Amino acid sequence: MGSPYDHLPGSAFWRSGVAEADPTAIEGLCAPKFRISATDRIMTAGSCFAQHVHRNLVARDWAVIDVETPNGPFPREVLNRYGYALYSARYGNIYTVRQMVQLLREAQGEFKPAEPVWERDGCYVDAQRPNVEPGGLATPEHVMEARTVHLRRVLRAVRRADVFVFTLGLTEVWFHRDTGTVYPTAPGTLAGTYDPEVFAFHNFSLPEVRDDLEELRTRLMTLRPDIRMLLTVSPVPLTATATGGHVMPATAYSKATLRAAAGEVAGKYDNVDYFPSYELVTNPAAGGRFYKENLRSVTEEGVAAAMRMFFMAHAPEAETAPHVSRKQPEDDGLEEADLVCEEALIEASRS
Amino acid sequence: MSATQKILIIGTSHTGAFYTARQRIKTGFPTLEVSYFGLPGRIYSSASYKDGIFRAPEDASHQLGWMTHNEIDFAPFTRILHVGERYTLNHAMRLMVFHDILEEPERTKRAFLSQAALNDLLRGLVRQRAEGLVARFGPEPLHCFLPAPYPLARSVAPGPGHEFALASLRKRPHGADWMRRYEAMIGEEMALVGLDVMLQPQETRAGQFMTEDRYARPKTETETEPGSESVDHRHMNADYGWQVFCAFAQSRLGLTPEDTHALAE
Repeated sequence: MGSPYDHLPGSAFWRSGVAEADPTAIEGLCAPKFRISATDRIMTAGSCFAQHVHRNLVARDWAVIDVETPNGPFPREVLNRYGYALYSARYGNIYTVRQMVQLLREAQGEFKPAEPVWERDGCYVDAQRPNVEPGGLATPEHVMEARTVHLRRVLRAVRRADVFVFTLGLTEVWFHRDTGTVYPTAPGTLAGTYDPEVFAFHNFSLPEVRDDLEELRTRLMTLRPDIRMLLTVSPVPLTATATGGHVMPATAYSKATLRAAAGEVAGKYDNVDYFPSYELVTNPAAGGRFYKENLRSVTEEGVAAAMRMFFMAHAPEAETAPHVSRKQPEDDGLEEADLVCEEALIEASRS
Repeated sequence: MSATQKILIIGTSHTGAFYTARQRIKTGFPTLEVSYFGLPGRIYSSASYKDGIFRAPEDASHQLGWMTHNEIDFAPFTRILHVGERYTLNHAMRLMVFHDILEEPERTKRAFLSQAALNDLLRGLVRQRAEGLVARFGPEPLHCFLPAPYPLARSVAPGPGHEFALASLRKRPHGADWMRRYEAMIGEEMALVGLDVMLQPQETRAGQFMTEDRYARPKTETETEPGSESVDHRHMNADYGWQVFCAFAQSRLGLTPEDTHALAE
């Protein structure tokens, strides 16, 4: 009798599948449950890393939904500064699944966030997307007016989407004690005032993230019954943890929880898949080469490897054919550092 | 008697207005020797500029009837007037038309744009063009850039050649004010890259951002007019070329036309 491992492919073994494999092109790492094509209408959302996905899909001229960016040859750097052309709608980074669910609930008229407008240096910002107006707005009414239109656009994006690509970023969150409203940043960091009687910290557990993903799927399917979900986990470590512990185990907990929740939900439903960009970037065989000097930001090489894996898995014909791109992401002179990330701003504000 | 100055007017099809005014320019400014070099917009855009020589693609030479050569050396000229840059006017206008500005009172149920975003997006458009021009021609102080004329006032009426963005923008209360800001940005951004820009003279305009209909080329208003050419609300006639050249000569060369009575038509 042989071993049950005797006839497994090389990808099942660490030495052949990882240690001896080219870390930029690992065979068999991505085995999609369903194919996504260039004509599928794709909605993107999530944490910073999702910006790479959005930008690369746009650069390949895939049918990426964008319901808020003005049409025209505007410099990407200016658009991005105001939250345009980062994702399918102008919601900024959505780090937690709970925030994404909350956004849909709000757009569907079932929920009103507490403390929706935060003040910053005499101006007002949307607490749910504090970076989309870098200088703030003159009145809270302007913030709410803009948000009302934004919410309609969010619904429009979902209703058009064939595929919802979501990058899970964090388990740590700041929330409103009385209502449970969650925020993408801690009050008092980019705007607002931190009052411990009003706001509190929470670190989501695996069951909570899993339940939120289930609710997210349900809500998306209510709006768009045939929608498929592609989940990824951001390989970007935490900038800081509010757990009181060391940032390294806090990062490990966060990523492990998100990865496990994504895996469980993807394993349960035919219309949910997991894309292993996290594994590719964090692969020890890469020796850290996919991270920049700060050991947080992903290098262009890392992004390129992840996106190559995506395109090889979903559109191998296009990937192996001579590549003709109408829109190159590098054409505008932007590099990864230009991506908008509240976490980086938090770090800058502390320096 | 002043020494002769050699002037070059170069650019897109909008150089036609100047070329058609060449006799008046010659008579009115006898101390100037003016050359004209115009190419259709797309060919002008794809032309090369290297070592002081502006050269159209070989296969696109002689696209305009009055052109006898497809390249020109800038070296002999004391001033060069570039004609026809639009500074993405249409995109700028559409940005203003298709959005309600949060800080402005008007509400039309269009998407919102904050003043700050509108300002930065417009400036971004203009900056790209200014940087493109300086990358192409260098920060040469002898060059002066004249934007393409605004469309004729008649173009806002329904029909062929209708300028939708222009027509919509003039109905919006903030239109004129934001067009003023957009124009100011052109001046500022061109100055930042070291280039001289001359905006369309006010005396040729109808309001803030249209050109007076009297500068229309003949028989270009409708297609039904006997002997009409295609409808054209964008290219101007010799009067326009003359008027604008006078403004250029006065502001950049310190010259006024001689014997203006003889020049009147």
